[in-house]
Amino acid sequence: MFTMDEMEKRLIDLIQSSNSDTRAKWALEWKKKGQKVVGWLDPYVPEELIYAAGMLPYRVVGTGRGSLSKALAYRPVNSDAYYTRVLESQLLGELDFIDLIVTSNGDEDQRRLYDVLARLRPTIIMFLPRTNSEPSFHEWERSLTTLAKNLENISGEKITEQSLNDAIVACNKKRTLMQKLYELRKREIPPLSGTEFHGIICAAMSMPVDFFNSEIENLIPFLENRKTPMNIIKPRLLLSSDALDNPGYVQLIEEAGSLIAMDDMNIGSRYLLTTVDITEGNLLKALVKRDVSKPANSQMTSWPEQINQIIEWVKEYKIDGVVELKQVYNYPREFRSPMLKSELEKADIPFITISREYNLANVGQLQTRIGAFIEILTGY
Amino acid sequence: MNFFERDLEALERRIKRISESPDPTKLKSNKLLFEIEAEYRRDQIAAWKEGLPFACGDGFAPLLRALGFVFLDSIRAADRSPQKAEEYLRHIRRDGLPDWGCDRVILVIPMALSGDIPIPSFVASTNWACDVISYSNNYIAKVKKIPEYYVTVHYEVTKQAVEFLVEELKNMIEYVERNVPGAKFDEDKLAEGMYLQRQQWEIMRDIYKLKGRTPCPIGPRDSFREERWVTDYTNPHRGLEYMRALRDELFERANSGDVPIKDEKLRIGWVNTGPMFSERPFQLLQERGVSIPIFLHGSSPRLYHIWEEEWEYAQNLSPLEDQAWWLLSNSWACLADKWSKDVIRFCEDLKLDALIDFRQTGCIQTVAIGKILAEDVENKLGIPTLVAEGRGLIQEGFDILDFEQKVIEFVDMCIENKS
Repeated sequence: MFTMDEMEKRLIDLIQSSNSDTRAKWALEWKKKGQKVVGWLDPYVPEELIYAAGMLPYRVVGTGRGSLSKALAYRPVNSDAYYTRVLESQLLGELDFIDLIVTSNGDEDQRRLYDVLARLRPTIIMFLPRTNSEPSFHEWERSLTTLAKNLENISGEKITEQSLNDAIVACNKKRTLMQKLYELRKREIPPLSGTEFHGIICAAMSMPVDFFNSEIENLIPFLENRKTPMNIIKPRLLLSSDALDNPGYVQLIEEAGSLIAMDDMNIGSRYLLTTVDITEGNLLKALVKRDVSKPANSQMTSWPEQINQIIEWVKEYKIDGVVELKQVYNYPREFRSPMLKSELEKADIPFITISREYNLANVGQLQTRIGAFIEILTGY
Repeated sequence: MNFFERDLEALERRIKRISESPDPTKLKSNKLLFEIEAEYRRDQIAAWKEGLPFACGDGFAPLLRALGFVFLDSIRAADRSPQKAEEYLRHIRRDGLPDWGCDRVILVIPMALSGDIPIPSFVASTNWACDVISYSNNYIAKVKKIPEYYVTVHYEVTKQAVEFLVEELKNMIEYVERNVPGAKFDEDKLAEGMYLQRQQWEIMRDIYKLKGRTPCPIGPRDSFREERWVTDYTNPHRGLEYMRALRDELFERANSGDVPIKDEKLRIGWVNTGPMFSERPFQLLQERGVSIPIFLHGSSPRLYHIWEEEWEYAQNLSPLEDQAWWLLSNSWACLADKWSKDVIRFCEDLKLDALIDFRQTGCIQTVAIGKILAEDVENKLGIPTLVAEGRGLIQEGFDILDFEQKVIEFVDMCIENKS
């Protein structure tokens, strides 16, 4: 039986495990056991297949080092900052411990990153259709089948029905446990700040799933009764962003006087809130069904549906305002943003959109703009 | 005045200028081209007045015509509006859209939303070219609530990729028939359209071979022109008429030696885009004895099936398979390795000495692999690449004199090395 203080420490350890200097810890331990690590860039890459092949899925993040001199020899300045920082990380040798990186052609910038990465290290690209038509469904299934074969070749382990089933069960458990945490966010006084929640999300993407599940399972009873550490619980904001690997942004928004009560993120809600239905029978098809049914990223063409999902979450989580942090030079987001603004206005939902770097930068400007938005919401 | 009317006026001015004082270094067939383009604009103006349904979607023209639409060359319209570029850029900024995006394409949004071109009745979107095009089309369709169908094109040409696309195209046809009143698919019309396209591809392959002759029969400015697919036109046969005239004229020039640059000192491949607002760089090249046998951009030779080893697959395709195969043939949707191999073959076939890679600001497709391509061409063929960056239509922030100076220095260096 653990004391409250011990559980609090366990929570903090979990949140801080995804710090840049420690997040590779499990991957490196995995490697020491003679096993392999597969990095992924796009949340559509099915981690279940990677686990089923006996390898550890690991979200690749961009380097935190300031200069991008190596990567910018290959990429233009006005290109997606996340991909540029991933390339810089590769060129600095920070990704050498990763045996294989899997990307997709979800957007052209990611495909072009693949083109460079593939010349530097083992990398695979998956063909990802951008719509949910029936032919796209079958094509994505074909992509998963091809990926499975490639993973078997890398690991030397066959993906069996059993190993895939076990992997899906474990990843489903992760998502189910996280869904419980998302439910706790609906409380008027949630037990976790947005910053803390974001830390847990980041941990989910670098930690072996069984260990993560065990930690969350143990933490849930504690969290259900945890007294919130936050002084400010209003206004409640929904944060919409992609590749937001740096929790500093979430902290900045909350320190300006708010609570991030929900997210619309490709590494958050969209990654965690949909499970795989294994009663389907065919497990690959079940993975595909999960992918086509989960809330889509802005690189997909279903913008009205994506925006409707955000509006539903605003109602469900009793949100006072939406903050969009667009990563600079991310085309899908940039094109969708005016429509998001327009639809939220029609729904009478306060909204602000701000461009950001991948790493925490321009803090003063962000604080000023977020602060002004929060003042409007609190009626000053 | 809308875009069609502006373009028609510009074309009529060009035709008049050529009739009154033709430039002997430029192609005679240009006059026919401008006449056919003017006819096309008149047809579009008439169609718009009549309320006929337009549809847009580069690469889909044969299919869109077969569905009963008038093809709206919206992306080309954006490309041919340099005089409105600054004004439209302000619209882009006002609406919160990415103003650093490729100006040759993104300006289609304010053009469509302001009524400078007709609002289409259907939008066919795809990633066959670039995300700026596909997201621009997606944006217009979503804002104006126009029926839209998106087709994701594979980056490899395989039997399975064609099968997937055929299924998607069938879905698209069903979708259009369901959502656009009066639209009905005519397979015979698609077959006719693809047949006419194949004729154009054959002519373009002939032209490609002619461009490999030394000295090159086409001048720099004439080379810097993006070919139009004949199925864009309301009367594709006229398009073929121009293509044949162009081919015959180049053939005659190559055989007679009556070429724009008789004392050819250098052969350059021009890659990606260029400053559309100025003819001076091309005049400078011509004065220095520099040919540009090829302008490598969207309509790259892969789009007219230049590689004979692919032809075996192309036998006995159904019209939909043919359309699908064409959609798969754009280098832009491919991986860099394929693009690199293509460029190397073009350099070899056309006996190129150097490349000028004018990188379009905001064009991730090309800029993000520019270094790889330049390195491959240098390593495999010893061919240098001059890199520049700018926008195609908007002059803001671009120093044309500095660019011209760089071009001159590069060319002089290459000529010296060659000799």
